Amino acid sequence: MSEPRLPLLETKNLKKYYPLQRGMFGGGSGTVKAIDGISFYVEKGETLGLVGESGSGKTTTGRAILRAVEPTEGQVLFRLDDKGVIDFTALKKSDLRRFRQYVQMIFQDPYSSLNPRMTARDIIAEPLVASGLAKGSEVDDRVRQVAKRCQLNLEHLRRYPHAFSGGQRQRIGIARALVVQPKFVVCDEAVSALDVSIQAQILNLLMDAQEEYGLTYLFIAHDLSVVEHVSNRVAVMYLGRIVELAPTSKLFYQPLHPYTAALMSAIPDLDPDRVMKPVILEGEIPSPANPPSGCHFHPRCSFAQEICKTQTPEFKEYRPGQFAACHFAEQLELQGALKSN
Amino acid sequence: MASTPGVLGRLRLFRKTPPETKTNQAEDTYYTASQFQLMWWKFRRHHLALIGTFLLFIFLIISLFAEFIAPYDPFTRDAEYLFGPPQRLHFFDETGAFHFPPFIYGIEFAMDPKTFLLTITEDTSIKIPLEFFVHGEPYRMLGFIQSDIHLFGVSDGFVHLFGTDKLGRDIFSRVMFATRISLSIGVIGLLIAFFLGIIIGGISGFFGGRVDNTIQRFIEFIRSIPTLPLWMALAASLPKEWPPLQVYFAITIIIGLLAWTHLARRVRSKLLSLREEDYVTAAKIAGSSDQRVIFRHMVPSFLSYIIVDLTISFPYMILGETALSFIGLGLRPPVISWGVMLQDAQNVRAIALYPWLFAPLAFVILAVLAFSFVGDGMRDASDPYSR
Amino acid sequence: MTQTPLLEIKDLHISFPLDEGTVQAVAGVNLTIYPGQVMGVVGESGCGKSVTAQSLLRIIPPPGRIDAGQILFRPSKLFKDTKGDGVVDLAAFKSNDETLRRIRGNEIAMIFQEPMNSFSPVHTIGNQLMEAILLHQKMTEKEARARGAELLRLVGISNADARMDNYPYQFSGGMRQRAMIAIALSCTPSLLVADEPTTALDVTIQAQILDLLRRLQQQFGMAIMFITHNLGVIAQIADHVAIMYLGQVVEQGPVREILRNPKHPYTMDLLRAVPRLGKTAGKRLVAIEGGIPSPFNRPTGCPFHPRCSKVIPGVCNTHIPQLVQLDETHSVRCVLYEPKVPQPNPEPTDVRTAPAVA
Repeated sequence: MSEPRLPLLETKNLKKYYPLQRGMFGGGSGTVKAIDGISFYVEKGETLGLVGESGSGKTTTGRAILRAVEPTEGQVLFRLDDKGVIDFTALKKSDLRRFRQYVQMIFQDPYSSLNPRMTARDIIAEPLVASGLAKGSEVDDRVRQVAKRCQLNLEHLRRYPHAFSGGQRQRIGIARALVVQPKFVVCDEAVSALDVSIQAQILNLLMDAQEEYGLTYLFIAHDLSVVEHVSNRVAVMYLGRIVELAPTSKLFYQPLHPYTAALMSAIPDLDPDRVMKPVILEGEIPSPANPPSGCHFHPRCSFAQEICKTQTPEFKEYRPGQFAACHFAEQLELQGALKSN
Repeated sequence: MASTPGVLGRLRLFRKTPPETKTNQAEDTYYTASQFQLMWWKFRRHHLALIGTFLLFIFLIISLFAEFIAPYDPFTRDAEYLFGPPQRLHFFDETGAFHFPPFIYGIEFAMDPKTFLLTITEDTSIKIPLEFFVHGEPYRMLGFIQSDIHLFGVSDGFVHLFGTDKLGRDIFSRVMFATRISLSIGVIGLLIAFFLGIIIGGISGFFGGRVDNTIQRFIEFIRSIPTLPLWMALAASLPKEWPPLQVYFAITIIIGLLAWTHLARRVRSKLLSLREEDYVTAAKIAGSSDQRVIFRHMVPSFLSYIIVDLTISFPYMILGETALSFIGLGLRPPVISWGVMLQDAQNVRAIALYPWLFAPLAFVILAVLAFSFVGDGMRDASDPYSR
Repeated sequence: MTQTPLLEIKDLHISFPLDEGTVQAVAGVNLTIYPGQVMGVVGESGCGKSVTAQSLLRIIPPPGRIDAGQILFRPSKLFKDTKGDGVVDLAAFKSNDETLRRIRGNEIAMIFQEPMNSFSPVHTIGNQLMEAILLHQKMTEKEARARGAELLRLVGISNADARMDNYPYQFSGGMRQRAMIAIALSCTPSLLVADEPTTALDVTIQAQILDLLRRLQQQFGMAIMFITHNLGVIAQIADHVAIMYLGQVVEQGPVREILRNPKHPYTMDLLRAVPRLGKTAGKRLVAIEGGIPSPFNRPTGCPFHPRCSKVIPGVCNTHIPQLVQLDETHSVRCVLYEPKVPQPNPEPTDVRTAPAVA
């Protein structure tokens, strides 16, 4: 065993509530709990996958960590080697800008995430210029260096985004994130919009860059086979809460939470002889504005008991490194995903 | 059946995913084309917009050089030729011979024995050739160019291309001067609306929340008042004893004040939607300051929309002024605008007997159409990246 | 195979004349679907899979047009245009032809990626379902309503009678797709065209819809043309697969054969580029080099050659590969399998076909 690594990032009880307006005079009440008490840590150099279906709050989690949306409550702690622990959520606006260089983001949509009115060079240079990290020819040097790493044609840097294909645009987006040499990168569905053959190129690029620059990723995606491919550990979200967090193979093949098991059973396998037998969940995902009581998953869970309706299960470690929020995590014997042959 | 967004969307996407061949000059021009180049390329394909642009250019020339283009001062009277019909320009005489420059025939008066109305007909025995760059009434153009040369005229007597009004004033000359006033009202009114719209809309969209709510309700209140009565009330409240120039400015401000609501809403909604754009979030994460986010990323992307909106609301300004002046609450003589001129054409008698009094109406229609065409073309071109 | 085909697409060419140039969206597609078969059509963006599907119902968006080829369909009922052998050529109709309209929905039905766009937001689901039923079948409104509710139950919507009076916005994405399937099934078509029906759905819902489609296919015995970019979905639902690339079917055959024993270099590379559960974790994927070429700039010869790992210079960039029948059901369009390999062409390579850089 290697010596225990210190977590690079830790979120503590992170919450984001949106007020729900009812009526034209705004007198209504209620909140949408987009994320409701998210706590996890990410170790230096690892990739934490974050999966969940629409409305689970995985994108909000990524953005709340970056303070692209302001969290309602909770802490995001960064441990920087030279600066100690920084509470990202407590930073003032002016200080926050200085620390932006350590945390960056890669977006899902390679079209809307690049300003169409700026050249590729200016887009990649933006984090350097905006934060004043580099000036003059140093900007160009660093842009060219990172663009080359992302396998962009340097002659194309003065072109505008409309000149590039989806895959190339995503490379520009990655170059923009990497140009400031961040420690932590949130990849928000970074390959979801790409074609299969391009997706493999981008996944390879992300993994190579991780190794080369010692990056730490929070990899948000809905494609479970992609998440298995890149992640060391994976967290599963359901209606704003993490229901299970475990090392990848444990989570995929020995899940503890019934929802994880249902997700895993639904992955369409490439082997036509392994006909998937999806755990059919009752009904649909409830609205986050009006989540069920107790365990949010109970109305759709086939194992649900009385206690599930009234008490929110505690999120705790059942096996080494494997956390789950289920009253019956110890009793249930659940089937995970089928391995390809 | 259902719509099929996939294919067309993807086809459009193809246009922007050009071939990755070796850099070839023409392709490189396209790839490195900036926003305005792309917009111009798109605009160029819109034929009506090009026609509109051409018309607007002519209007601009007229407004700038009205003194030179008009053969006469707007107040010069041809006392012999009251309510005179337009004089036709002839290129061929009765023998079929071609003349250039064209000529006009002399005038013959006759009294209809039954109605006792004076009728004016052409006297084909007299030919008066049209001349270009003739010396006429002296003027001072744009306040400093002193001259007496006019674009065209006749050496003897008058030429009235659009006829004359009840005092014998040349309608063509008057329309030229009215164009200047009417368009300038549009421009100034628009500038007022532009600044109010950007500032109020900007505050509303940027701060959001209660400020936004208050401003929006206020805008809704203003918009719920029917425009014409409001204009009328405001215009009627102007003191009668104000000099015409002061009235002119007051009317401009009234029209501008009421047009900003539309613009403010557009600015607000654009700002709100831009705030959610991924690239704006990306700029924030890149560490850009608020100012940088606003001026480098947000303003450039909505400026083109605002310009389009301005162009499209221009006709409303012109129509507003025309309507007010027409009912006598707007500009007053001696200031001449299209609306003021149309006051003469308010009754059935005028329509029946002196249809040329409606010449300014043709200009109103042309101006409105030209602005609408250009606005249309600009709207199509304003987002060259639309998917 | 001795069975008579339900649908035979022969050398179909579809192009879109645009300002920027002409896009050859479909460039010689051959595809045969037998009654009761689930044909999966897989490909990346720009491969022409959706346009091919739309051409069956003649709903290609303008300015697309069919330049050449036949779409031979064998309806279960006879129409006046039916030829002696009971076959109609869908490609030969005008797009508003009476017979075509009767085939649409009645004989061939279609479901789409985003069912929200397929419903009118101002009418109830029940009304829209009844409208589809009454359009092609003679029954009273009451009967149609009963039939509509029955269909909703069939596609797994609980409380179907009450749900008939709901509006589309009251349905979730998965339920809308179910309702869409119910409409498609209302006239028991012999061919169901499914254009990426699960792409917009969450994975658990996707599994439900796939399960439903498989069940309904067995129950009704209809053929399905299932279009997707997801190879896993194909493996789960299809009997046969056609792999498309830039407007051509490059390989076609039974699903097991294609996924286990692919022949075309594109199919092989594509299968290697997909992350697979328990196999590729932490490893590098074998990516296909380059990007998908612009449709305005189709490579000469084999469309895949600029990205192909087995490219033969001088052959692949000049010679358009022929369809080679490897056995009764498996065919491939690659020069490697042609019995007589053409001699390399000594002419220099066109710069336009040089490998692309992504």
